[in-house]
Amino acid sequence: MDRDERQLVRRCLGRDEDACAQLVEAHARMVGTVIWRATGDHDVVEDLAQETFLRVFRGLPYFDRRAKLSTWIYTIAHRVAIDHRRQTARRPEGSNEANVGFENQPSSGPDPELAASRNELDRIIYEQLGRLPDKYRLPLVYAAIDELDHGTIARMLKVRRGTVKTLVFRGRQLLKERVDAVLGRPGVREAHAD
Amino acid sequence: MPIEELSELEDRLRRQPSWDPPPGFARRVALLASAASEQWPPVYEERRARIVRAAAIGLSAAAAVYVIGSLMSLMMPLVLRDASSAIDAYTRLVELPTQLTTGRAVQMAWLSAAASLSFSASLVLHARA
Repeated sequence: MDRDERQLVRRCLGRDEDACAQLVEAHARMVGTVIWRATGDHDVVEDLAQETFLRVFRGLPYFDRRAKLSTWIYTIAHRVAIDHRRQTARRPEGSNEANVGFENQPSSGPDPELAASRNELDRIIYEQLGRLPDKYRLPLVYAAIDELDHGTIARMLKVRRGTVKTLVFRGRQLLKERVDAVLGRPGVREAHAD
Repeated sequence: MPIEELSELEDRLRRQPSWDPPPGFARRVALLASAASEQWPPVYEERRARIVRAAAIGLSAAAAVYVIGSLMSLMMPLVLRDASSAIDAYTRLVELPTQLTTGRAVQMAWLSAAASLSFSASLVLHARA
């Protein structure tokens, strides 16, 4: 944690509203992105991001100042998202399958047929991604966020850095196998996640 | 259009948009946090003060035991002065404080009443806090 961050944390602990807003401003985009990728539900991101920051402020007196503030905040965001997933999974009408944020991308390029085909492939990818077990899905979706390195993901998921690499690789393979199976490629085997 | 390479899959995953907070989000959360700040745990300095207070209580208890021990050792020459054996010395050790307290029974009663009252009061104050 650098000097400015330390100062900001101290001001937040002193109930300085401007400092709190500054801290939220600095991390809101990443917090929201982590939650969006983890839940796949854009509609809940704002509420869960808000909940994350309230937990951050409540936990700030216990924050170990030797640790990286952003990693600690993303870890809380991850936990909030996981709690939400568990709660919705317990509801009878809820589905435990994450709709991992697929949205039709604007068609780019001159060929509308190619663009439609790409959108269809994206839909299948995100559908299959949502069906992956969290053990593989979460490292995979977090690794796709540019700002999150494997070390940060390891701390968020409380696993070793090497384990993250393995889970991402295995998740990617599983996803590819499942997508290929849906696309009906000859010779692909049905993937079974453990 | 099958996926030929794993890297293509990764590229597609990376293309997902990131979340943009709505306008005023940070200010709104800061306001909420400020409203809920009464429920926040005490900050580091307050916790440090509590630790210091607890340590002071522990130290004063230890000091009290030390003072009592010192008084006892000061009494030892009086106790052992005419003692011819360890049993004799032990008897004197029991007798001497008993004589002192029974000689001032009324004062001792007031003293123990005041002590127990203040102890009860401190317990009630801590429970209310």
